Formats: sequence, C-alpha cells, structure tokens
Amino acid sequence: MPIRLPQRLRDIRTTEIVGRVRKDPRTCGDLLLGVDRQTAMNAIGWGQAEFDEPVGSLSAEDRVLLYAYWNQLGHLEELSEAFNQLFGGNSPSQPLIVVDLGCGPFTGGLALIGQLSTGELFDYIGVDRSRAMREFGEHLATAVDSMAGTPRSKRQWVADIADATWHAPPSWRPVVVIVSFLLASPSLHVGTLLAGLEQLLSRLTRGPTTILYTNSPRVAPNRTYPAFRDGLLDAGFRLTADDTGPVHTERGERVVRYALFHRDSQRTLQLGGD
Amino acid sequence: MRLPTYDELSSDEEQLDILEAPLDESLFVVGPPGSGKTSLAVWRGDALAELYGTATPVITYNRMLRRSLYLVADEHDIDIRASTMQSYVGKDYWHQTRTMVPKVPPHRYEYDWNQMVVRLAKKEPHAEALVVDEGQDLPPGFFIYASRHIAKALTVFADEEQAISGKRSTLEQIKASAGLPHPMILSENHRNTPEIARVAEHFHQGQLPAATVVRSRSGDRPKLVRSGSAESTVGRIINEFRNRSGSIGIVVDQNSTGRSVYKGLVDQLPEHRVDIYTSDDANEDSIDVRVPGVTVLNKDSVKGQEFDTVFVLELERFVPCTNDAEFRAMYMMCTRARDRLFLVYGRERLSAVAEAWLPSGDVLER
Ligand SMILES: C[S@@+](CC[C@H](N)C(=O)[O-])C[C@H]1O[C@@H](n2cnc3c(N)ncnc32)[C@H](O)[C@@H]1O
Repeated sequence: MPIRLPQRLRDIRTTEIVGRVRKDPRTCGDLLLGVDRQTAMNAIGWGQAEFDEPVGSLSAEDRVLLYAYWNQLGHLEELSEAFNQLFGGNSPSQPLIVVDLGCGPFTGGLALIGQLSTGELFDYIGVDRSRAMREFGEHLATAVDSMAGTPRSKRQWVADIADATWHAPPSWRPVVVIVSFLLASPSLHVGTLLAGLEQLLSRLTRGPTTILYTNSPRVAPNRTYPAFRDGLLDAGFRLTADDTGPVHTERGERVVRYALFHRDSQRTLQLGGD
Repeated sequence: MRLPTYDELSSDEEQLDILEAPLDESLFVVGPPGSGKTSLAVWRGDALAELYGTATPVITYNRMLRRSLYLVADEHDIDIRASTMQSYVGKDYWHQTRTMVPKVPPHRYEYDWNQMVVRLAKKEPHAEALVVDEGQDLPPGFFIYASRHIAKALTVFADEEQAISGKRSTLEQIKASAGLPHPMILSENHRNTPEIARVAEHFHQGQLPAATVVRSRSGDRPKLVRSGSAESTVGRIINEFRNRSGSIGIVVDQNSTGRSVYKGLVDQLPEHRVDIYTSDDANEDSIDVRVPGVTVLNKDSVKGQEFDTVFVLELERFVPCTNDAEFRAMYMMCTRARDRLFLVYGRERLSAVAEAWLPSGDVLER
C-alpha cells in the first residue's frame, strides 16, 4: 500500500506552502517566487545550502519556502513510511522525546504527528543551524496545533545541539532521533555531531533510544555514513536496518537510503569503586 | 523500505531478565517500589530450592516483611525459609560457633560484625544460596558475614531510596561488602496509580530516574486532609472502608496515635478485620494485610507492605523533610498505596512552610 499523508498534513501543505508560493506576487506561471526551477534548486543547494543568506533575488525566507515546496514533501513521505512501520498501531507506552537533527522546517515532527494517534504528546527538539528553517518549522508546527485532533508537540528550536535546554532529571522515556538528509552537509562533522548527541541523550533519558537515518540513495551524500554508523555501534547501538529501497507514494516510487539504530534502556547501574 | 516495529526493537522484559539470571552466580538487583522485588525474591528462592533440593533462606529486614514474603510464597505454594536478618544470623552464628552473637555495647541488638567475622575467619560458606530482600536496610557487616560465612552465591534486592533504618547500606557498600556485580535495574512501577506516583516523586531522590508507571490514570488524586481529632480521623477511615472496602493501611509516627485510632476502629467495625502491628507485640503472624480490613502500622513496619488505600497520619511530624532520611521515609510511605492516598494532618494546622513545601494542588488535592 502506498503511504498516504493524513489529510490534515496535506491541508497544511496546501495552505502554508503551496498556497503561499502560488499567491506570492512574484510567482508567474513556472516562475515560482520569480525564479525558474533550476535557479530555485541552485538556491536551495539541494537542501545543503547555508539557508540564512539571501541568494540573488531570494531572501532566506524565500529559499526556505522553496525548499519546503520542492524538497520537503518527499522527505515527509519517506519519514511517514518509516514511522508507520515503526509505530503503526502501537506507539511506545510513554511519551516520546524527539530529537530532529538538521530538522529543516519540522519535517520529522510533521511525519510523526501524522502517524501517532490523536491526543498523544511528545517533546520535540529541533536542531538546525538555519534560523529561517527553524522559524518556518515553528510556523508549520503552530498551524498543525490549531487543528483539532492532532497529537501535540512541546517544541524547542536550537541552532546547536549543545543549546538544547532540558530541566527535568533524566527519565526512562523513549527517545527517537531523526537524521534526515543531514549527512551530506559539508558543514557537518560526524564526530562532533555524535558527541553532542550522546551528551544530550544523557540529559534526557536512561530509556531506549532509536535513531532513524534517511538520505538520498546517491553515494556522495552518504559519504560520511560509515563514520556515523561506526560511531553509533561503538556507543552501544545496534543496527537493525541498513539498506536502500523504495518507498511507495501516491506520486510514484522514491528510492531512499535508510538505516535504523536502537539502544535499549540502561540495564545495569554502574556503581563507583570498580 | 523495511523496518522492524517498535515492539520488536524494545526487549523490555526486565523481570524476565532477572528470572533468567544464572542461579549459581551472585545477583544484585535494584528497583523502586512496586517493581516486583519481593515476588522476584520469592521466585528466585523457588528456582534455587529446586536446583539445590533444599528450601532457600530468604532474609529480610523486619518481621512484617518476613510475613509478607511468607504470604507471597504461600499463595504460590513455594517453599522458602523467610527470616529476619536478626533471627537468621543469630541462629547461624550459634550453629557455627555454639556461642551467642557478640553485641556492640551498650546495644542489645547491634551485632558486632567485626568480631564475628574474625571468629569465623577460617570457615567457608556452608550454604549454596541466600536471597536478601530490602538489602538497603541491612548493615554492611551483614553482607560481609553473609558472603564469607553463609552462602556461596548471594542474591540481593535493594532500593537505596527506601532505606529507613539508621544502619542502612548504600548500594556501593552492599556491592563491595558482598562482592556483588553491578546491579541490574528494575525501572517499572506496577503498583501505584500515576496520580499516587506523582506525589511520591515529589520526594524522590537517588541516582536513577523515577520509575515508569505502568498503570493507567485512575482519576483519583491523592488528598491532603485536616482532621482535628482522633474521632474525625477514625470517621474518615470508616467512611473510606464502607465506600470502597479493600485493604486499608494506616501509617503513624507515634505508636500512641496508632493505638487510639485502632481502638476507635475496632469499636466501630466489630464485624471486620482491624489489626495493629507493633514490633513489641510481635503479632505479625496473625495479620494478613491482603484481607479486606484495616491495618495500623508505624513507618518502620509499613515498609514493603502495600494496600489499596493508605492514610498517612501525623503528616505534620513528617514534613517538611529536612534530611535524606525524611525524604526517603515520605517516599516509601506514599508508595505503599495502590489506588488511593490520603495525607492527614492533625490538631495543629500545617505550617506555611510545610504547606508550600508539599506538592502543588494539581498533584495533591487540598
Ligand atoms: C536537506 S535539509 C533536511 C531537512 C529535514 N531534515 C528534511 O528531511 O526535510 C538539511 C538541513 O540541515 C541543516 N544543517 C546543515 N548542516 C547542519 C549542521 N552542521 N548543523 C545543524 N543543521 C545543519 C540545514 O540548515 C538544513 O535545514
């Protein structure tokens, strides 16, 4: 069965992304926000650009909107398929904590909202170095909040993983980490990313942690994947899926590179003195 | 794309991990109230008994706990030998040396572990296995004695947070004294409603996160109640019992308060079970706390017990907590309640400090 986004997510996309692009006074025929597709693609650098700078006639906000218009839907579909397989019918017994690394405009949060059952609450920590991305993410999230019958997210947005605030003591809550189309970023250092993640996880939980990795099937964007995988294996994660394969959507088939890592709850208490 | 389901990923069968731990090795388990420690102690005792063909000694801190162990075992038709530490070691030392346990003067009860261990220096453990429940309340000397001179493999269940006795051991001390591995963790609370657990968490301290509450919400928020006299307290308890039946535990600080409440209850509930336990009366064997009725205990003897409803009386004597031991005592008392919890203060109003210090109104109904 092809994955189908829930109607409320489609509505959000229609009004907040497609509608906004179409209604923009610069939009005319194939020229969205006044630029052709090739220019748009260059401006969003296939998603790996420095989004906070203007490019030509496009402001940072324009570029983020174009990213959402051209690129986000596919990622949303892939992540929806992943969460459907993971949680379909059976959500974890405690509220999730979601850490979305290189979150973009709330893509992982939206996908999860579409697959959890109504009324569920989760914490969401969106990490993205681009202010414009974070702001548009919050804008989409607020739009979802205003719809009745959707799972609720308690959000924070930070530029750097080290900036996340968490005042509660660590609990046993399950954490889901999303790493969707981040690893191609030239500004990313895998060792630093993993160290920051481990540091944050130790503040959040002693419970189970699941890491979902998705990316383009092309080789280049995955070039740092081996380091990422090995780092996680060293940190006690096990690899439970690692493949390239199709996601069936209503628009056709998309091939995605994906992996799933999992680490159980802490099972022994390491006491001092030994 | 093909991913496992979340259920397939998470192997969260923590009790099973403990039941499957090797029987001929020492085992150390830490777990919060309601995580099933006592049942697991009994089941492990059972498995060991089967392996070695002799009833496993299971040691605990006080007589009410010994009684609960016995009742759990009896319910499942399991053959364990439940004893308090004091009595088990007294007999064990006698068998090994034909002398009485040396005491640390001027105490009548405090064993002189150093002297005992020196005396038995050349003796090897005589039993294969020993199981200890509520290990945090036993002194480090006991663990040294037990591992050197009682059993080859010790199983110790502990909750550092619930320790109430002055001679408690930290988890580190237990581990070092008994030569145990790092403790396995139980993280789920199967006993309390989420509402009760939230009040208890107010008093939570310790190295591990508060337990995950497995039960679903009941809609019954624990209540802070003022009761100006023993009669009105008795009236409330009787009301609760008439409306709900079930087992009710009354926790007091002073035995004199316990006795006056007990008298009132006996007079007004002649046709029902009403018990008071004190260590001086040593009447635990005549009490079955599981039978519907009311049991009055003090904070030492309520340890390890559980009731459908708990009234903690004399709250003004327990809060505000000013040291670790007082926090642990409040935590332990609140977690005795399965479904309903009342914190009752008496004659004097609670001080503004105590009032502000308790959980807020959305957690503890005023
Ligand atoms: C291709 S987008 C993916 C967005 C989102 N995860 C999705 O799937 O739609 C990559 C995002 O990562 C962010 N990013 C790139 N390098 C980063 C870094 N070193 N730290 C944090 N965010 C980064 C970019 O700003 C961009 O929003």
